[in-house]
Amino acid sequence: MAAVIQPRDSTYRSRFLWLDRERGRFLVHRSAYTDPEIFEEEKRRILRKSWIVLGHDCEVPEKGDFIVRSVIDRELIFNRDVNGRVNAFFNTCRHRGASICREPRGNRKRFVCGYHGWAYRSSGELFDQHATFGYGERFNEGGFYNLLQVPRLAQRAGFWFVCFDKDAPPLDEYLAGAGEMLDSIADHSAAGMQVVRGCHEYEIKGNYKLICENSYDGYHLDLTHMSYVDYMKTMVKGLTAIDIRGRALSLGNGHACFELRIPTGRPVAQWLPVWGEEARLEIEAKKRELERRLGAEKAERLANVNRNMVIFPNSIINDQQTILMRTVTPTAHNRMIIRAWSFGPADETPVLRRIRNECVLSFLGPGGFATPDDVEMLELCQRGFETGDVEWNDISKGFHAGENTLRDENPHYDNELQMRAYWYRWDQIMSAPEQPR
Amino acid sequence: MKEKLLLRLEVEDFLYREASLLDEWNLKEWLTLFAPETRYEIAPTGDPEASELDAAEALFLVADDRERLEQRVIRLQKASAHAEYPHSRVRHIYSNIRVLSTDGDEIEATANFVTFRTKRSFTATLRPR
Repeated sequence: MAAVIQPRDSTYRSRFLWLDRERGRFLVHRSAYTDPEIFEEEKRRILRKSWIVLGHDCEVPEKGDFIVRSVIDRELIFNRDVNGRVNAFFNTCRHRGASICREPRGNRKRFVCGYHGWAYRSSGELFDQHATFGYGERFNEGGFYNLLQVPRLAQRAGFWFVCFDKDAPPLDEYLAGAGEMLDSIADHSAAGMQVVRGCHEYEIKGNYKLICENSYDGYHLDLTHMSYVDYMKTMVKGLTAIDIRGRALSLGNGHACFELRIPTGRPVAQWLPVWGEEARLEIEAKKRELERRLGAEKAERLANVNRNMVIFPNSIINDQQTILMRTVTPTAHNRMIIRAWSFGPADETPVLRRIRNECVLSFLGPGGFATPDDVEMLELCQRGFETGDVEWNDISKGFHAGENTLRDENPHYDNELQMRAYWYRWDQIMSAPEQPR
Repeated sequence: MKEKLLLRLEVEDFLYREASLLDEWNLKEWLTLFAPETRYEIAPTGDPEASELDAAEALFLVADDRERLEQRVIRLQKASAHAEYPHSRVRHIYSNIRVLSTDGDEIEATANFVTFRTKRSFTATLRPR
């Protein structure tokens, strides 16, 4: 991708963005959420050319472990082969196309197509066609018929990303400042991470960028989640007001996050009285372990700071009540499927694991006390876009004349720097002259 | 045989009443159907071993004790519970109700269900998977 030049003019206008620095206005054209043709263009120019999170290393710990998982509109087999190498294959037989894996997960040394019996090793190599004659010696020369790997696959801090563009920049370069944030997640435990069994899956009738915006939107917390805050106040006896402090950070290449110091508890490692004495001792022990390993300052941050991050364009990795990885699969310009997995330290005690799970499901997911209200707001946005002649959305909160969204910091977690960083990048790609294909 | 039938009808009556309270959004009364030691759980969807999982170890959709069930009811009666304001129209349909065993006052029963939820003229069908 070309180097990003940020518009410095006092006004900037493209198909999608309208910046008026003098009036402090930052506007996004609603067609970016509502136009099916723009969605197709976006798939071609952004989604197929970006690195997108597939999963975490700890989800396929043993040789032969596999998971079938979708990225955008491609179904992939994410596996660790018998040589210990991690792969991402398109889930389709090279013969006549049938899906090779029919189970959502498991452990297999080989994948055999149920249709004609073409058989592949876990490394993707075709080794048998279930036929005694009809194929020559050189048929699979050069691995022509091996399971097809995604063009690019790489990991950072255990998070595996795929990219469907073979010419994309290396993952570390793409991630920019988001890479260090992923590294700090790996600091939660010296023993590595473990995925919690189970997935929260739900559909939202809205454009996929709405959940990205929502995931690191500090501005909506007290109003959209008023009933969750009420619940927390009831459960955490003695909590009369929730004091929130934090900041927003642009991390480069459209990635951004916001960080919150919020006293709602973290298994690593902020104790709440409602969790009881046994948990207090364990969390104090965890905090001491962090201090020994990482030093006092880093340990303090890890223990008390929640961070919600969107890796442009649709990978969401949050460090909050748990480590939450969300994949966003757009199925149309106005539909998406969200899948979310929870991760914790591999050596977490049963008491803290129980608390982790409790925290997650009380806030997040289709049965949580907060996510359903986010879903409602996003669906109302999509509905609002499509029912009126109003052309522009506003994301100006905290916008000032000198703001540099490429690498900037905003002292207020509830400003909208995060979203401006996203939209700058989005517009840069969508408004550039398209390379001939 | 007759006793078994009557017991099943009793269970059916109970479940139908429960469904009807939900359909009417009479959550306060719905809550009175639950004992203090209640566990109200929805295991991860799509997991073939869902019924054997423990909410302490796996990511459930709902894993409420009586206290959180009550908090859920309180929340769902507020206008700030945006997802259900105004309340959607719901219809809970129970079927295949069976009594599996009895032990004194305790009855183990099972049923299939489907829920229709209509909101802004769109009807979603919710079912266990």
